Parts: sequence; C-alpha cells; structure tokens
Amino acid sequence: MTSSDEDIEWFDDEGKRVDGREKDDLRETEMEVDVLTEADGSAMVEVGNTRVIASVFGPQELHPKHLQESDRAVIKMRYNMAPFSVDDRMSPGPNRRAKEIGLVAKKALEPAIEMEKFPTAGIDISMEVVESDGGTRVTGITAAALALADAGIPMKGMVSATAAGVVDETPVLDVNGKEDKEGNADIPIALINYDEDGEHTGEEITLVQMDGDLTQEQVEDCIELAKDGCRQLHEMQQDAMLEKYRQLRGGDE
Amino acid sequence: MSRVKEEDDLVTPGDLITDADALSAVSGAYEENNKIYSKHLGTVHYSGQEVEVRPMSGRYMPSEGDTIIGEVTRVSYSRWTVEFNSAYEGSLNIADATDEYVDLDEDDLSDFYEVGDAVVIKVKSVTDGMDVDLSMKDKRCRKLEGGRVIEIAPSKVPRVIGKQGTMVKQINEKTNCNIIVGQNGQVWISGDRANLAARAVKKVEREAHTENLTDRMSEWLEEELEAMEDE
Repeated sequence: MTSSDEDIEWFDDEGKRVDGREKDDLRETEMEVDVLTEADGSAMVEVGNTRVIASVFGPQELHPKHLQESDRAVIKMRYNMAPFSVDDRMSPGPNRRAKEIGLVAKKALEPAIEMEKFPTAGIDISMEVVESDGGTRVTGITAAALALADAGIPMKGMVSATAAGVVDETPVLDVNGKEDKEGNADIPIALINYDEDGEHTGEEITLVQMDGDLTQEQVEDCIELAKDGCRQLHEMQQDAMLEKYRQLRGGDE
Repeated sequence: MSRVKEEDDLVTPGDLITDADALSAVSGAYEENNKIYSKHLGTVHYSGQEVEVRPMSGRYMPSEGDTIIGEVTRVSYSRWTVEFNSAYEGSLNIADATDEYVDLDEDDLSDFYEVGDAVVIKVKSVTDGMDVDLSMKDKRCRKLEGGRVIEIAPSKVPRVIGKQGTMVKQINEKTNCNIIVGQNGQVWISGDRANLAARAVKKVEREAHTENLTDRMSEWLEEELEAMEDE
C-alpha cells in the first residue's frame, strides 16, 4: 500500500468512483473487428483510455521446426506496449513484464482454441498496446479473442477478460490506471463464455492473477464482479463481430 | 426439439445453435451436454440430421479430393513441393505427375514443372499429421499458362462457384474469360476482360451471404459491360 492511499478520496458523496462510475460499472468500451488488411484476423478494443490492437496470422507453417508439435498447433503470443502508450516515453522492445503477460494471455486463450485441428502449424497472435490506462492485459485478451474469431480459427467459445480491484477496502469492477496503481489490489480474470442458457453453467475461468493486499472475502467479491464484467464484454464482442456482416446484409437489400 | 438459430443465421463462437436431439454437429459446430454450439463466426446450415457452421473466414485446410490451385516451390530428386496458401504444403510424387517413363538420374524434373509454375492440382491424400500428397492425374489438372491468380476466402468458394456452377459460368460467359476456382480460394482468370471478371469474383466474395446474388450479379455484369462499351 502506498502512503498516498489514505489521502485519496476514492468515492464521492454519492459513492461514485474517481471517474464517475459506479462500483460495478465497466469503463466506456468500444470494439471493432477487422481493423487491419494484411492480418488474417484483427480487432481493436478500447476500454476507457486503454486501447489495444490485436492481430492474428495463421495457422501457418511454424519455424523453427523444433518448436512444432506433431498433434497440435503452437501459439506464439506477443504483448507489446508502444513507446507512446504511457505518460512518459517507454523504451521499446520486449522486457520481463511483456514476456510474462504474453505467456499468461496465451494460457488464457489456448483452452478455448481447437488446437488439435492444426497439427505442426503455428498461430501468431500479437497484442499491441497503443494507449495504456490500466487493464492492458485483459483488454488485450478480449481483443485477441475477437481477432481469432475474425481469422476463422475454431474456438469452443469467446474469451473475454477484465479486472476487478479493491480501493479503500471496497471491491470495484474494471480498475483504471489510477485505481490499479494506487489502490489496494487488482485481480485480472479471463472467462470462456460458451453456455448461453442464462445460468452460465459452461463458463471456464482461464486467467486469475492477484496483485496486492486483500481478504478472502474481497477476493471472492472481486471474482464475481469480474465474471459479471466478462459477461458484459462478451455481449459487446458478439455485437462487434455481427456488426461487420450486418452492415453488408443491411446495406444490400 | 428447439432450434435457437435458424438456417443462414449468423453465429459467433460458443453460440448455442440447437438442442442435439436427433441432430449431430458436423464441421464448424460441436456437441456438448446434448446441445450444439458454434465454433466459428459464420452461418448456420441444416441438412438432414446434420448441423454445420460455415465460417466467414479462415485459411484453407487440405481435404482429400479437392481440386486446388498451387505454386511449385521446390523441385527435388523425385518429387515437387507445391504451396497452396495453407498452413501445410503438399508433395507431388513423380508417379502421380506423369505416365511417362522418367529416368531420375538422366531426366530433369523441371522439364515437367518448374519452380514458380502455377498448377491446377488434386489433393490425393491427407494424413492425420497433415502430410499432403498431390496428384496431376485428373482431367482438370494442368499447368496454368498466362492469366492471373486472385485470392478469395476459401469459405466463399462454394458461393463463387454457385449451384451447379451457375455463378462462375455466368461470369465466364459474360466476360468471355477462362476461370478456374480452386477449393483453396485461389482463382485463376485469363482473358481480355480479366479485370472485370476479377472484380466480379471479388464482389461475389464480399456479398456471399446475401440473397438473390446470381440475379444481381447478372444485372451488375450487364451494367459494367455497357459502361465499358460507352467508353
């Protein structure tokens, strides 16, 4: 916990957060599919001031050959922050943090993808953070899932991801940069959504991380809050995917 | 039985399509807990007892019996390697290429096919590990001379061909171009009006999921031809 924590007023008189949201509100979110021409699949997701472009190339021949798996595809995942994505210039190139996030994002997406369909092949996924204000890894995962669907790669369901955190001992959904840095804790969650019977029976959590100081009860609250956020994001993902084809269908008749 | 999605509905990965009673999921769909879900962003198609989702996009997956258009990328001692815009490449063995007697030590295989040649070729077999064997022993198979190859999404190939080949035949007749549509989404076009034919193929690809496309393409082609004559 930072010393400034006590000085920040996290909630106003009406219980609204620093950016005017309720405790269980997502930030304003925009999604667009097929934003790049050359990639097999691509998507851009904006969550508040966080903006990520994801691209997918493949399945394609994988080199070097020793990385190939004879019975399944291999995912190469890249997470990168643009030098201009943060308030002070960030030195470009991979670092320890980017490597870790690439790995956890890969593990969050892989269980949804039908990897056995493409033996020996490679799928290249890239998440490019254009602007960062907290929650870049979860926004990246949400964008990458859209890009995978756009590339026509078979999946048992869409993966959506968001983070919940604790500020001033209160669980809140979708922490922004300030809440993330100076709050007590945050928990990113990724969810495979594939049972739309209203009871969420088929959901699978594929990513849980935790950073900070919080009680067991707060962890449970955060996970429920984040799962609910993921479901909302999933609906937006569905809309974004259908939008592209609705335009074509509607514009023609 | 309750259908959640109807014929031709758009679905996204994980969408519930229908209860599985008496129905089974084929390509692009999967069954779980007696329900059928989609694996793709695509359209739903019912036929008999089967439910299929045709994806909107995706790379070509070689499948036995397909006729495809590929490019020779390597000539080896007794075989050629052919790429066809997929995650996998295919190999054409000498016995599947010609009935002529070839003395491997004397004859040069590049007399038959050279690196860079475009060929119409058949998928002879595909193993579980995706080793692809190709064959030229089919009446449609040949080396392509001249013309050009354009690319469309493999999932749109059936639409470009049309029912009993009506769509491609129409473009062929109106533009007077030779057109060969490979199952892998490579389309070879040759003729004076190749530009128009290529635009027509691209238009069909773009509007593949709309209704009455054959009639509308007929009108569109007439208009374009008139505009060309006016110039």
